[in-house]
Amino acid sequence: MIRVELRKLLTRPRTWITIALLAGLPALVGVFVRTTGVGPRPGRGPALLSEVLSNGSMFPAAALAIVLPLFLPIAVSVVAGDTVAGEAAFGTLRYLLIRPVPRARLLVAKLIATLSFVLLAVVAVALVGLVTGWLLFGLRPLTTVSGVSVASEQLVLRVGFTVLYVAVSMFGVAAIGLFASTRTDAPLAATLATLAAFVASQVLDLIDAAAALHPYLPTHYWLAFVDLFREPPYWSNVLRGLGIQAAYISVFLGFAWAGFSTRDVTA
Amino acid sequence: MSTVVRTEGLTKRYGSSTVVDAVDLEVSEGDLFGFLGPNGAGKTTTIRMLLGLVRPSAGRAEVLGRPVGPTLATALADVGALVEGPGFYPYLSGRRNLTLFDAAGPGGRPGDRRARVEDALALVGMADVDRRPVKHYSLGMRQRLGLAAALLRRPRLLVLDEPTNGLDPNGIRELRELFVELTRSGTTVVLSSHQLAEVELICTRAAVMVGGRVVAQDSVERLLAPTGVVVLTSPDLDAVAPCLVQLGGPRLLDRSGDRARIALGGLPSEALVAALVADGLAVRELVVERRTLEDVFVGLTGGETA
Repeated sequence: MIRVELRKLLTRPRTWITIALLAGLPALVGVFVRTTGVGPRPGRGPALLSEVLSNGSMFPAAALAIVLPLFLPIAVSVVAGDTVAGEAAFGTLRYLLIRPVPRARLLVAKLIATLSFVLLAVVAVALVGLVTGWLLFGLRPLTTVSGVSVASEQLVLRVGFTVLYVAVSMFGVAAIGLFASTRTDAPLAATLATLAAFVASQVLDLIDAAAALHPYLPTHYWLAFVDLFREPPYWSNVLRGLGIQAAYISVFLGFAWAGFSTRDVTA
Repeated sequence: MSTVVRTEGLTKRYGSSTVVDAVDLEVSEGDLFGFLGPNGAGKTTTIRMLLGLVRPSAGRAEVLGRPVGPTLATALADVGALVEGPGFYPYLSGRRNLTLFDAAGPGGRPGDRRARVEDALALVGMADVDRRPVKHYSLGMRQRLGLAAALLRRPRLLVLDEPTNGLDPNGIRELRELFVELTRSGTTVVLSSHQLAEVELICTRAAVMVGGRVVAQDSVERLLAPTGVVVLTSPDLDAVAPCLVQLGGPRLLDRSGDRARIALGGLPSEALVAALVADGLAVRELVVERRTLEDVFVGLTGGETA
């Protein structure tokens, strides 16, 4: 079943179009920044983008920072929201369950396919970012945000960890999306519910009055990976972010399983 | 003969409304079982409970000797089903769809997958289907493909909800022959249908469901037992009435031209013929009147539409 789900994901044109768009946007941004030479002023615009002007090796991380606030969560919401509800809408959910595929296995297969999509998308963005950075700005040893240069193996490690961190952040969105997808037979409704959760978190995160809530919001630490490019890297927020995501992932997967295992399938 | 489907007091309530009310069904191995009832009678919900898609509020269901339910999927390994229309990935071809379904569940060697898919397609007359995606299929083709998906694993039990939807008369006849053929080779078939004539033609047993309850369940032969009325065609019909009076039991019900309906009143039909012939009356034709499934159905459902 897991192999079947992966095959479905990889043979669906939508998967590749989404990934192409995701990886294309940072490349486009890169072209503009290069041709105009205008980087965002410090403290404004996507994180790390201003560093890119002086060093292309920052571009993979900057590319992730470009798609992270909106584009990536939308893509993940679409894929995760489609998992179970999409099968229901096609009328294939009942045939899979009758086949029989045990409900737990179906859910696990859907989860693995969704996580694979996230990894694929994040790695694609980083790789295209690397190539773009190399072609447009040239790769130099890293000068960190803090102004100290570090060895290139350090850079590879940090970019690698950034990719993982962004992926884990998106796993949180995927878990919410999978849960929503088990609660409705309309994939669009599941996607919108996931986006609503994401937007609500973003809005609360902007409001000072809700400051007590901030450390518990799923999106609060999303950009904390920028701290990895300081010297020495600042781990505290990154670790907190991982903890928050772990909590959201386990809670929503638990809800998804509890609801789906005995639910009446009427689609 | 073993029991293939058994439900005991199977009940489904949604809030305060009872959709399926204490249904006891019994389908034996080798049956071609017709499942009839007007729209909204609870047939599909019953079938969904049989397939573990919907959890019963009360009662239990057993398929091929094993209990079924949302957490008990393994009982369905030898069951093929078509429920409320076929479902496919519209962007893939029919073959790709069947291949995915075959790969999704247990059983069968992966190496035989292609052969299984081709066999199933051949069974429903789609052996030479092309590579276009299912979204470009006609309704009838989708229905056939759905049936092919149900037949993929050569199931011991086939549960088919309205399988002839969207097919033309020739297609319906082909499927009818396929069902009879499958039953002959040992498959048990449960067929829910609005086409009473279809059920009457091929089914061995039938259940009629109305308002969530099973109101009749018997062999089709017994459901269609003779009504005790014969239709007599004779050129000497005027002389028949006095003859009937002499016989005592039979009564002339109505008459049009040279044809009359006669209630036998317990007299065997051959005795009636003998008496008429002995009186020198010509008997051109005498037909024992049987109810059609439609009569039975209308009688049981109080005229609700099928």
